[in-house]
Amino acid sequence: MLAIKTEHLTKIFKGREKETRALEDLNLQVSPNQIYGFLGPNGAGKTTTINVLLGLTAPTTGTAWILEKQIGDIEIKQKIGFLPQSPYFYESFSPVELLNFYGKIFKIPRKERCKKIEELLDMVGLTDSRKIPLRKFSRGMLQRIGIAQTLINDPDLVFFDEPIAGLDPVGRKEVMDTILNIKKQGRTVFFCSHVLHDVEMLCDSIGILHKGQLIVSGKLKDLLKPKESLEEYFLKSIEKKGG
Amino acid sequence: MNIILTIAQGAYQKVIKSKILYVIVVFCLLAIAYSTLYSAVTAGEETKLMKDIGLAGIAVAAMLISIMVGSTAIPTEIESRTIQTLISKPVRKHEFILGQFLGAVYVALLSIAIMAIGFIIILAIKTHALNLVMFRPLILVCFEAIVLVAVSVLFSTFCSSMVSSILAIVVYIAGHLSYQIPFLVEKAGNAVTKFAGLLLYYILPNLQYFNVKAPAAHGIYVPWGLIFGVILYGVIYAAIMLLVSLVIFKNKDFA
Amino acid sequence: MKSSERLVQIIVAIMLLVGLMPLGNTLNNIKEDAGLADRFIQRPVLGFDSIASDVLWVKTIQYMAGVKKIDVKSANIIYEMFERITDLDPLFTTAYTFGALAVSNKSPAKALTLFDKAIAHNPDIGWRIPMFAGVVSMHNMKNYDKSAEYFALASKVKDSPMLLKRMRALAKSRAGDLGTALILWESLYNSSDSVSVQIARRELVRVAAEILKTSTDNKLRNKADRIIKEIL
Repeated sequence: MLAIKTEHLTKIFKGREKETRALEDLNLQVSPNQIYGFLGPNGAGKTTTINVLLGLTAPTTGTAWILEKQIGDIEIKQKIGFLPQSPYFYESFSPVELLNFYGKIFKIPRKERCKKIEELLDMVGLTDSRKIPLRKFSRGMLQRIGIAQTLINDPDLVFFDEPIAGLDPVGRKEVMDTILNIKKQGRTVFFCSHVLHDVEMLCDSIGILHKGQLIVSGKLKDLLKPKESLEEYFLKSIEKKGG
Repeated sequence: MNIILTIAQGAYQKVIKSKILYVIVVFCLLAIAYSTLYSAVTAGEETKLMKDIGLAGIAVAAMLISIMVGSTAIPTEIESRTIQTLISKPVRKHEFILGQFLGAVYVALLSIAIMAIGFIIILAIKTHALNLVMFRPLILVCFEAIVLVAVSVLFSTFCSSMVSSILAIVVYIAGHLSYQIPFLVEKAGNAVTKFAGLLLYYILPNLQYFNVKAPAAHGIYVPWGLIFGVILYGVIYAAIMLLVSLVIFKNKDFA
Repeated sequence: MKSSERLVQIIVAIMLLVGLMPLGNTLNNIKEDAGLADRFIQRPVLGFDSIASDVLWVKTIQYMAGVKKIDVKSANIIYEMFERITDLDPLFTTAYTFGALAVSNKSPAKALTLFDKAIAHNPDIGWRIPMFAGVVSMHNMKNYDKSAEYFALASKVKDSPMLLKRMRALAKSRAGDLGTALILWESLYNSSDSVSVQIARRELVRVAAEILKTSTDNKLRNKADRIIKEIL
């Protein structure tokens, strides 16, 4: 079983003056129970890929499957979690209210929901800030509540879009530890990032996207030569493709 | 249904903390209370004046609140990108629309209820009588608010909150003038003009149906048959607006 | 979304919209039956007619308070103001009375216009406004036929005072319709109201004498003769 599979996935954005081919015939396969890093320069199409997989935007052609179910199947969303880039949440809500809200969306029974909320707030270190409105949260705190809401439904597959960007070193370490824990719990993590050093430390496999095309995909240990850093490999791959 | 109610609750919680809502409600109640001071200049018609100010004030406040919450519910979700997190969860687009609509309706009805109770109390203090008959026009104000929320939600599925507010206000004005169209087209010689006029008449919501403020202020009996008929009209019209909203919203991208 | 689903939703929306047409017509009929029909207004105020009329009412009261003596010019201004007030709120019966009585001396015809408007827009107007109209018609315009009509309308209202029947009879006799006056006074003479009986007795004799003096209708003369003999 594959966690994620796409076949000839293409997304074209039609602007007033020109078209933008954000994804070009993307054929991606991600195995379960691993951390998969989805890399690429700015504008490569990483966020677009996640948006298509999650149903936020429709593909132009091609199709995709998540946990063996075709995208568009509403039931599959019970098993996935998503943390968008620069997460936005209802500013007037407190962490408890936000997690309670999302918990109700997943139809988690009240008792179980309350227990889960306490566990998640403890896990992300926000127990003391449980009733403070999110508008008063720092970037790092928002990221932490974002991770908490990603896990409220005990997902099998988690999408993170640039989870480490903009965080201080302490924040980055906390997020990275959380991602490793998520994987240890038997979940699949699919995340986009620019911070290649951290990707190298976390990921089991990677895919490199360039101008909407998947130019590299595979296990990290198989792709990198001895003593070669991910950054070197990444730049070499982009250059080879004519980037 | 649970998801629709959850989203409605979320929408309500988002809006209810808005200060402008309280400003409108308080201002309306102050206007009603202030009208009690006008007895010297009304030549014996102070009760009528109070009733008119109360009903008109609540109607205006209800219109402002309905349009404000209806036209901002969806665009703020899209502009702030909170919709991305929501749609990534098992929420169907129609559940999202209906939830936002119901949340907005709940806010509008709650505001109207507060103003209505305040109005009845102030009127009771002034007239030493409980004018419960005033609830009849207020019931119709509630359903007019529901129609306006539905119209605002429709516009907000394809416009920004500012543009949808303006369009909703235009529909409000046109809705209160549309009853004049049959009078005007009667005199039109041209069949095309007549057809176009009548088409517009039927497409626009006839908001005059919801207006029984004058008879109520004069203590004239408003039949329950009319009230139930107008409620039915309002519910059907709101349903039409929501159906069209669903059609437009279904293919919307949130990337 | 599948295009078939979208098509179904659009068709349902159109069907509901079409369904609103007979419902709308039904609502218009109910409103008309209840006397609440919408009227064409030259300057509509978006459903806030009643409060707009109140604002004008207050303004008009202020204007009238500043007028030392109502002449023809100020009577016309006052009339226009009350015309506008009652256009906006045709149920505002106090405004009709106030305005019509204010202008009745200098512009009795305009006063009657206001009274007629009140009667037309308020089926349950009561007896006071038709009575005022009758008085203005009788005293200011000397139009006794018209005043008799107003008194007739007023006297038909349940629990209206007997005075109105007497006023009608009086108006008829002043209009020269002695035959009808005789019938009306005879009816009052046979009523249970002691005041009306007393006045009717006197008036019957007077009208009967007038008939015998001036009328050439034999039937009427015989009737007048019979009545005089009965009373005297």
